[in-house]
Amino acid sequence: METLQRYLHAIEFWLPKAQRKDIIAELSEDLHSQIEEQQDQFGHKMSDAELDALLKQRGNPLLVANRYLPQQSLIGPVLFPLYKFVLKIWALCWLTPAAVLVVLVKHTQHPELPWTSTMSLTIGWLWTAVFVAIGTITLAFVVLERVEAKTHFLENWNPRKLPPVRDPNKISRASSAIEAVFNSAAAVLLVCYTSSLAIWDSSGVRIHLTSVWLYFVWGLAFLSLLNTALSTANFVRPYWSTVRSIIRFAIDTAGTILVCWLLKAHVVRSFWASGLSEAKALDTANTINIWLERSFPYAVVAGLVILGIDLYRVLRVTRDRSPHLNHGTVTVSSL
Amino acid sequence: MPTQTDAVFENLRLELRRGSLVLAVLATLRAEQYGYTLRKTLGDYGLDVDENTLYPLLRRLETQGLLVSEWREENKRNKRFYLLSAHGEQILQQLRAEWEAINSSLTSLVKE
Repeated sequence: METLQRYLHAIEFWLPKAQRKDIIAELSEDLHSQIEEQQDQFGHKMSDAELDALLKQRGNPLLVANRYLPQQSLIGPVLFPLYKFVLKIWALCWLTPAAVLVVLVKHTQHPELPWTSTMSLTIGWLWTAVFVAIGTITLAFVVLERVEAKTHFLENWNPRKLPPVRDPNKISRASSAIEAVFNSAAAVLLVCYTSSLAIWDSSGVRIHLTSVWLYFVWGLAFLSLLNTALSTANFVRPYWSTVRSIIRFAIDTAGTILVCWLLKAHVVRSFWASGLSEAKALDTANTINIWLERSFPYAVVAGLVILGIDLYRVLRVTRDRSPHLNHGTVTVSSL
Repeated sequence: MPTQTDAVFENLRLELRRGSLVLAVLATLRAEQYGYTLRKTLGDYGLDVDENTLYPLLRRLETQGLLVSEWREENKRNKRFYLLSAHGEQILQQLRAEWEAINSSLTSLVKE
């Protein structure tokens, strides 16, 4: 019967202090009654193996004790979905951009290191930040949970203060108008003021670019005009259609390729400043080209983010226009 | 190996029985009993209850004032005897009326 005593002792450890003795006395009595009954049934004294089986059937001491304890949790089922949502938003809006930015900055600082080493350096930094942030969010929710349990503030709500239903495929006319004006102005400015290889010649400083620059300017001006046309169409029909969302994706893809290509193309041919030796001027031109090249990963990341958003829009619009789905309140116009 | 359907049914079955268990315990304890015999009695009526469910439930019902209990010696062993309190009797009547209403509604609803 030593096993039985050990079993009861293990349960006792987890029980609330005030009721410990009482609960254990009752459990002990119940187990003894059960043992007696089984012994009568079998016609012999209970063996160790039979006792083990009986206790196993009763359950793990921690689980048995748990049934006597009040249900407790750091964050209860009411606030848990909100907690998960906040963690997801934090991971998406803070953790991911911060990780990417730190990798890029570390790569710029130590371009000689391979990407894998840069990433492992980042993980070291990120580890602490992630623990502190998750800990802070969890702690905030633990406090919120306690406050909610006392004040039931979630029950005090007003249906009229619920956020309005937002149609993600609707385009704000104001943003379309701003986009159209900005893009047409950009196209004009690019062609009028930057379509020359002598990009700067003033105050004793002269910068000359390679012919790559002209392809870039005309390409970007063309894309700006396309964007102007698209924004105008969006202004007239302020709902994303599959065709227009694909056009936006294509324009942004071309723009990203163009910018990335320019950064890698060593576009500065010569730099001249009064009082600067020829060797020093050449060195400056090289430095500018190197820094432009070093910013290439930043441009790639920024481009990928923009293209990701565009692609998500294409998929969303295509899905929402699927004949299998009924979006009664949403009016979708086509180009 | 239990299928997913079995698991779903088992969960729903337990949920269905859980609510009725309080009513069964209160009704049985109109006559004094201790935990072990109470479990046997419920089992005899086709309501098998796990010890780890019954004993915490008895404690909760006692804390709520629906049961009273006392330790007494029987067959040379101390046992804790439970009995329905006056307040428990009142609640039992209310629960019985509620159960009869639900039973009547469900009988009409689920009959083919």
